[in-house]
Amino acid sequence: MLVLSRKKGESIMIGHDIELVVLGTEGDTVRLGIRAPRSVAVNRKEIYDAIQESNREAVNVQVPLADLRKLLGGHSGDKESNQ
Amino acid sequence: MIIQSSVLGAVEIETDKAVKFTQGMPGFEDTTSFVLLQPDPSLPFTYMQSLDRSEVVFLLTDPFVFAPEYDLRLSEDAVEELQIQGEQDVQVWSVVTLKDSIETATMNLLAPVVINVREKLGRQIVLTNSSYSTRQLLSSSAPQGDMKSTGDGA
Repeated sequence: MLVLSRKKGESIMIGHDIELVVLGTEGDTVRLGIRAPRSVAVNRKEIYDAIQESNREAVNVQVPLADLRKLLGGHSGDKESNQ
Repeated sequence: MIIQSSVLGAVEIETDKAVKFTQGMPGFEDTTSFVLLQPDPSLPFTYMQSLDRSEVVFLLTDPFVFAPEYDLRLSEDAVEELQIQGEQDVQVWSVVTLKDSIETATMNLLAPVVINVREKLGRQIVLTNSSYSTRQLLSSSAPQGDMKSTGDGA
């Protein structure tokens, strides 16, 4: 891991189009500003990890149609909301 | 063309049906091309099959069927990234996780899969400032409680 020290207001460039700005600190908390292209997702690490883990658990699951129907139970099953 | 799905076997699909996920899916960043295959048109479920890796397939559901009050707001960045021009372009799906039984199946409300059906672009988008859960129970037999309080995200 590359370790850099920055003072409040200073920046780090990651690649040519991502900028990390140290906005300031309040106690143990560091406020960071990120400028990045729209296509680059920026997330708190624990959130990204949670999504990755959720996808890895979800992948390759096969559910018999009868079970899918069971799930609908008390719900209308109206898929018009996605049309 | 015929594609191989580990869940659905050999499936014939039209090549122009492929949806492009330029960033892949979190955990599967190398799979950038998917096709949606609905097993039964009367059910609000669809399989999202990777065209790059046959073993990568997700079960998706329409979150609004199970959580009608689901409040989803796309950021301007997301709208631009997916080239969305209007609501009619958009489909929102949630990834379903099934571990032990169908009664414990959950859906990921924190990170919906958003698809622009006109441009055939898709992305799993994290609703960063919401308190939605990655594991929202689907079963109506389970007490839902306050959906927003089960968040395991920030």
